[in-house]
Amino acid sequence: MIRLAATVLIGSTLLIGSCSQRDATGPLPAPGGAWTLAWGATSHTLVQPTPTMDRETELRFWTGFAMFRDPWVKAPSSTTARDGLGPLFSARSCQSCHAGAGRGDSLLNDPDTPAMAFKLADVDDIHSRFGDQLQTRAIYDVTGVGKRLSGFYPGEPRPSVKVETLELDDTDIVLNRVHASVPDIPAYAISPRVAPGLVGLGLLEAIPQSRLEALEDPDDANSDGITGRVHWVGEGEARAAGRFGWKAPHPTVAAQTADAFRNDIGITSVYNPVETCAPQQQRCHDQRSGNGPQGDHEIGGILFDTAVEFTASLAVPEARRATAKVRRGQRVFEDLACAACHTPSHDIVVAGEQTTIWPYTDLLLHDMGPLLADGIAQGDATGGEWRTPPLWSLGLQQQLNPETGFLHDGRAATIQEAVLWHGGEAATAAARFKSLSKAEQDALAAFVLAL
Amino acid sequence: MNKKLTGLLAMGLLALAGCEGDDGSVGPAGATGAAGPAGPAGVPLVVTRTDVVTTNANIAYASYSDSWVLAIELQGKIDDLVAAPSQETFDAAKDAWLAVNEPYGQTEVYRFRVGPIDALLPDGSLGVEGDGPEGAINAWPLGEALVDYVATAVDGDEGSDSGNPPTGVTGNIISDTTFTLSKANIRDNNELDDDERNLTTGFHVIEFLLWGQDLNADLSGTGTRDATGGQRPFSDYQTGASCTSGIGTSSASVICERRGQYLQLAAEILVEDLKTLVDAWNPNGTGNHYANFVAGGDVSLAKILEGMGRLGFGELAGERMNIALLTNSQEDEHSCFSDNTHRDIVTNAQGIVNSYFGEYTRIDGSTVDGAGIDDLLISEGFTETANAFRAALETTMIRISTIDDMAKAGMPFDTQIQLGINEPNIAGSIQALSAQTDILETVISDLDVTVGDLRQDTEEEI
Repeated sequence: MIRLAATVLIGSTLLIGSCSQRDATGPLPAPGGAWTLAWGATSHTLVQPTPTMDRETELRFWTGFAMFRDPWVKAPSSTTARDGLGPLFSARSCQSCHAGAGRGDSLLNDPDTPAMAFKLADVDDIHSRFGDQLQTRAIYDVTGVGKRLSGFYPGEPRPSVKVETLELDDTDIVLNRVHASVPDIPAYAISPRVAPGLVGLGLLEAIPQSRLEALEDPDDANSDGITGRVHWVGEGEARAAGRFGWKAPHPTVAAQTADAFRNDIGITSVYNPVETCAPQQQRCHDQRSGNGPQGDHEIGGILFDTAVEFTASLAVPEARRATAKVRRGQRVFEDLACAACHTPSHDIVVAGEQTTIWPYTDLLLHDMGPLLADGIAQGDATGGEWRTPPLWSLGLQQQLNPETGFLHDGRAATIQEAVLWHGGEAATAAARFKSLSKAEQDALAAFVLAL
Repeated sequence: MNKKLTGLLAMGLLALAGCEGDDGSVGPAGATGAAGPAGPAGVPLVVTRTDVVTTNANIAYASYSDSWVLAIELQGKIDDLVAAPSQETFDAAKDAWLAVNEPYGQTEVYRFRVGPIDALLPDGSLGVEGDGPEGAINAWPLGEALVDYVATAVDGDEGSDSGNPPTGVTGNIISDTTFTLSKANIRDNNELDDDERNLTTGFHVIEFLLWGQDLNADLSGTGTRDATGGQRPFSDYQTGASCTSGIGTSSASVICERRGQYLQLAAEILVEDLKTLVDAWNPNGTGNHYANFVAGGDVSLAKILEGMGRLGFGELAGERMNIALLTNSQEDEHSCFSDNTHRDIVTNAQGIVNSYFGEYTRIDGSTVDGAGIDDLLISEGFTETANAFRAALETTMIRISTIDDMAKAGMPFDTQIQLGINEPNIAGSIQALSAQTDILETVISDLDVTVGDLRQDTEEEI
């Protein structure tokens, strides 16, 4: 419904000004509804439990945080609950990519950042040689009695990074993007993906599936040029709307967390019991696993659950001050019909309580055009489709980590750049953005960063 | 300072009760004697926020400096061990390791607040969490298989799957003679692009090299848990024909030589890293962290309170106790090789007490005794909160002492957790830390130290 309203309101600022949610003096709505975090005695981390949490739940939250923060170690080790790293991996801990539960560095600022997953396209025989993600590191190779140690087991190669610059007409903003390349793998088959911020995931999980279905418009019945669709995952009873990941391949926080444990750290769980070793990587298969004594997985049931609970209950901080500039940016946001995909709010029920959250996403897949396409099909999502990412707390994430960037690979240093990269279904909005005055463009960015 | 202050406060209350208000005129001999000096009617003592922040910085200096001094002693004992391995020199090195952990445990209240331990950069400025030497000094958990020999199973966990070698795992940095042992190589661990490259250094690596894995009575790693720590023999450091890698497993002399060399380098690295923290907190420094922190006002006060809260609840209750309890994982305890976890718990909790009362007892017995948060609360009129938090800390410390006492009486933490999820001493300690956290929130709200800097206008940043 909001999507339709926004479409009707294009170019009609007077009408917008009269709407009740656009009170020009009041604060921006609380992003996490009743679960929004007020400003506390900290300024350096987004690792904060939701404010209504009781102490017993909070104890589990911090236990989960330990699983998030502490590095995994090579098996076997004395700390049996925390071993099983790799054999192939990209990072040792969740924290090393999602520092303070925020976003990772952009390759443009930090070519060696660990906070980048390199997804691979299923072309040629790449998947059978490397799997669907490059693993840039590996454990020390211990081959057992009588065999000489040969140093670190060679991980898969780390891509080298090349920057491509695009100059656009009608604007002095220069766009940069990165191409990652590895010998033997064509550049078009590698898609770098930055570690996203993690706040509010449990609230996104609570958006009713019926709501997402109602937002769908795969055939563009309303002729607004936007054809969002749910990324359906699974079959039969298990069929569910994908919500998490850059192409929404995961319907739950648990599935997303398990995927990250396996593909990024090499930790198996009940969801993903098999290591990332590709079929012919025999030395990888030969390494010891960190499974527990009862044949449990490397992260066993209880600890996996606390890690998921932690991830799902990271609080969304309050929005920032709604200055006149922010309010002006909000009007631009509405004029451009950004809300057609970045759906401002959803009504949810969490723990029996109804509230309205303001994540600015529809969680649907949209074709974003050739400049953003990474050519990698994931589940039902095509190489040109992306899930609308939430906009809440983006400004804070950037403030906490100035080395980060926006969009799936962190290529955009500013919100203005990020908007200009939009194509496909968002091409009209991006073109209109380009025609705005610099003051209006900057105001839009101020609004987005205030959410 | 709290005892003195409590005394003053009690006198003040008595005076109030007797005279319906302290007029400041009653001298030591009572109302009939000569008039005493005028007091600040109703306010027994005044400390400022900067006083509290300064004392906190002074304690940081003193406790890091104590750790550094004792680490140098540890280094000396390790040199003695390597020069002349014997049960005596081996035990002396272990004792020195236990000794340095007493002050070091009390410094951990300076973590979780983007202070030097978590964020110190080589140039002396502060970066972000993770930039500091914490990982190099106290990295945990430890992937000890990378450093030295390990058993096939620990606590019944073989971690094997198809294709794995069935017997002992032998390949590691010490046994790999192609790995040149140097401080730089150990620090760097050959890992490029790595954000946690120092897992080969720190207290727990030294602990592992002194105690070895805790394999229980039958040494197989699968037997019943017992009351001892790791079983490494001193002959692991003997060169020539006596060299071993574990009890009864003789080894090439070069392995023992390399092990000794590694241990000495690890001690040297530890001393160097601790020194960076001593320098950051040096009260004579100009432009160092001490100077900046003392000048930091409410932002520094907020950091103190944040560190106290995160250490007490998130770290101590949530991680160090609750995970071990939840998983009944014998060695998922902080000092798993030496079985010294009970002291880690006590010294961490003591660090919070130190911050609250503004008091710290140095290793030579002298004290740093200044302005505490308790004094500040009383100065600002929050006497009930001051007393409630004092009582909560007392409860925590006495409950935690039961874990410490049981360990000293012969049942270490890893055996205590076997008593089950409802083991009253550990569960009671966690509960006390929870209650303490509730009151800490009142302290924070009474003192009104919110850091709103992230809420500033976004306009300048665009």
